[in-house]
Amino acid sequence: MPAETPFDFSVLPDAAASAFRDQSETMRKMLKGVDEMRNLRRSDLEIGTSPKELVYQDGHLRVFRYAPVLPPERLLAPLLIVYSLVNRYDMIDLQPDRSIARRLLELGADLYVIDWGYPTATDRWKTIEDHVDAIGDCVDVVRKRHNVEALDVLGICQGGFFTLCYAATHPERVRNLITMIVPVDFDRDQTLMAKLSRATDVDRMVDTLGNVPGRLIAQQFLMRSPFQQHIQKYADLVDLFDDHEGLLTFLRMEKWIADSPDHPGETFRRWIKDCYQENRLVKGTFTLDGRAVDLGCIMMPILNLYGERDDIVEPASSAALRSYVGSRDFTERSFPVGHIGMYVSGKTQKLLPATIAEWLEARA
Amino acid sequence: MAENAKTGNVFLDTWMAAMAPFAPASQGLVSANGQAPSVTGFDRWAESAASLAGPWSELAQRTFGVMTAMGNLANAGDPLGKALEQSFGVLGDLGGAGAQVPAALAEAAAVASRLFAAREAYRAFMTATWQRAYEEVVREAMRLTAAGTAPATPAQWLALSTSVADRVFVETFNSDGYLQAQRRLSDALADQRRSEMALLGIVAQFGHFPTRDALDAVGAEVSELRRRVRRLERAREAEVADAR
Repeated sequence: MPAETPFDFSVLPDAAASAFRDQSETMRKMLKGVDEMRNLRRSDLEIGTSPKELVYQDGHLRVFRYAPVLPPERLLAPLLIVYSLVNRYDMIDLQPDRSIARRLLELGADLYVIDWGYPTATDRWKTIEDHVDAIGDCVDVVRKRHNVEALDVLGICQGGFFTLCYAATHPERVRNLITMIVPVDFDRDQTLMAKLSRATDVDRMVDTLGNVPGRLIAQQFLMRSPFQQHIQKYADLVDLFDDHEGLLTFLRMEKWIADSPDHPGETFRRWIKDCYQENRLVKGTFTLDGRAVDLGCIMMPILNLYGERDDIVEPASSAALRSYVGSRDFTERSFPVGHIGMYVSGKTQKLLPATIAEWLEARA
Repeated sequence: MAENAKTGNVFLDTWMAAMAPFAPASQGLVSANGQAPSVTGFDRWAESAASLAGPWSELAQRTFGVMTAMGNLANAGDPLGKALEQSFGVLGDLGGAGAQVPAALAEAAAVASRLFAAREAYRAFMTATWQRAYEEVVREAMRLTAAGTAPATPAQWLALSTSVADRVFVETFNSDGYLQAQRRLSDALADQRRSEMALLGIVAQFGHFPTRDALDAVGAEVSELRRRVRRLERAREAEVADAR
């Protein structure tokens, strides 16, 4: 077959030539995109691929230990990560070059993570107390494996809130506490998520639905920029067809966003009522099994991390922690990123894990 | 015909009662100059449209009530047979739960009315937001064109449109009016779901199937038992540790 002759745009008026050129370029990218998509394998989109082993399981809950990267003599003390019930923990290990888990491992962390799993209808009655108790079980498992009295714990977002509750009620079991993008003073949170939470009749919702569907919570996140999230980012996808790695990152992020477990109903009820609507933790009226949780009992060293552009947990809400804990060794670091950027942004990939590792090393 | 006039035909009278509040609200739906409806106008129309269901549900309740009463009369001479029928009730034995059906249907009709109103009010709110977003995008495009910096490509136009629309919609989502509208819709949907479950619960009773409430009660009990077992295990582990 004879080679096709490229179209000579110079025969057209300037404006028309420019439009045709753009159209032609878009078409070329889209055809390349079709080719890219057709050749993708399931394994290309796997997330959370850092090697890890299952060390504990109780129902849906699992605890994994990431394979250490450094030899035993250079490892830091074990660190347990407690993620939120919203979305999945593998955001800490999206892909090799966007993984705070990998960076921590490279810096000597001996890393454990709690996977809360996918709640089913039978988990509808699980309370915040149950989740805090489960953290205690996981802490004990890791403590026994390493024969230590207390553990370093990193709580993220809602998981950080549960971790604060655990640390306040079992201070002897937590050696160093790291909180990352954790809501503390909910009255200081004026994000859309907070407003929606305050405007919810959560009793009605939970009494009716049982577990709260993950897709409902996911849609609330997308409401922060609906046209960007539903239209623009897919239009921009055309440009990624020329960027294989960028395309894979995009698709992995999409996969993570879509992986949104349902939220256990009774836990959601108290999360919304006691936290967003009544701000009980900082008022000292938040209770576990009827006993008030006193943040003043948290005396161990604390590293508080948050994103300056976080529009899911307002920075002021996280930063308020300093005012309520009893610890005198309190360090705070903020980063110029949003909520998700804390895990995957290029800006935080080196800085955030290094901040954690150095802080822990100084308190080893 | 006067508003409260009755024809004696129960269906015709019910229809007229339903239409009475609906007609004037519908007239106000479209303004005289043909502009799009306001949110409040639309809301008022939706509320009155929802009232359509009220008289019908009352009629349904009365009809079922009469049927139930007739059923009771027919069985008055054979109380044991009736009790046996009800106790062992088979599928389709409406008499067994006849007393519950009219109330559940009336509740379902009322809830459906509220959902209709809430849904339309929400849609009106979103329609108004779309309109405002469209106006803002056009305004911004005209401003950029006048300044000689209009977007040159479809991609630039799309980026302009989505960024302006995002601003307008996010403003709306953060407004008290939107928060109330979504709350109202969410509540009405929850009530609708619960009324459907109540009806299914009646059906479940016929077949001796567990209702959602019964399953919930079992689930709660199992969760509590698991909790107690876990506490006992923890206490035992602590005792063993102390003993060492």
